Amino acid sequence: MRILRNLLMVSAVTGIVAMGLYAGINALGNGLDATGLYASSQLPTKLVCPATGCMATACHGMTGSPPPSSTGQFADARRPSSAQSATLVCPATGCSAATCHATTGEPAPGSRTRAPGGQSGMPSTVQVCPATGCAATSCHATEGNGRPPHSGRGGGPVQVQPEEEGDEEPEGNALWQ
Amino acid sequence: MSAKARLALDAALFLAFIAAYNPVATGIPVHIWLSFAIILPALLHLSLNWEWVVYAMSRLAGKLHGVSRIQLSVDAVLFISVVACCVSGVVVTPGLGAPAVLGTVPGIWYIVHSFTADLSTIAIVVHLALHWRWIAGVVRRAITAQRLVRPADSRVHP
Repeated sequence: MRILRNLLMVSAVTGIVAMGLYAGINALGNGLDATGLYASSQLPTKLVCPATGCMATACHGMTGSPPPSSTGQFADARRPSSAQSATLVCPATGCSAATCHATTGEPAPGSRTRAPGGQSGMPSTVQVCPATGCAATSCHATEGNGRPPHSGRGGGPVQVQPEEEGDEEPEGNALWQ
Repeated sequence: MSAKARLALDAALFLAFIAAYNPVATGIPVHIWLSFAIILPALLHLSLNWEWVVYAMSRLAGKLHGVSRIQLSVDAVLFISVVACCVSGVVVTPGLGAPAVLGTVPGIWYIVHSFTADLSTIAIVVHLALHWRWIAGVVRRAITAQRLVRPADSRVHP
């Protein structure tokens, strides 16, 4: 009986805390939205694994390196020494975003492409989602309606890489198809 | 509830949490179901120690042992981070708290989910370390009870 009473009490407290946290986090998100802090803070948070729902940086951190093949990861393999500042690896196929892009050709209408990392003037590969045409930095919208509301990161004009021949799109690619 | 039963519950809870913490290893469906399955045992765990929590909080401003003060602080962090992790987990789950379409959830929820999962794990490890004597005591008693009958004295709060 005592445990039951405590359980009710704990449940009530947990519910109240949960509602408070929900409201607080929502308010924080809206506040960041209003201030535009998302765009200026360079938070690498826009890459969300479609398989796990977690952030790319978190997923990548869990395995330590980009997966060579399908592991359910959405790896963000940053290569600072390269002109291509970020290679986004498809979680289903393990291929890079640029390769995936090449399999479908031109960006879809409404594509919003950006140079990753804001490297203006540097020729770069636009990693464009073939499904939505959005840039790779906003890939978490690949199954949705284009860019998410907070995905803006500055960058100069970009150059779309020509389509590569012979790239085969493996099966089960939920992200890049 | 005996100390042995409580320890078994806590151990199961801990293992389930560690498994749920690694969705890449378990897969998303298992991650989600395991996370939901943890809720009731976690509430039960808290209920079993609720009186201590109330006691400690009532004495927080006055006399409270230093270790208990640390325990209460860690427990508070653990509680809030786990609840935040659960709430954000529901929000970011497509078809559950979130629309079935990915990318429509504000990024803050993913940050919170990831951060609180890490924070919860750290807090659990500290929580375990702070209650290590109780855990070791229960295990030791369980082992020696097979050889020697002795009065059960396991009601000490962890």
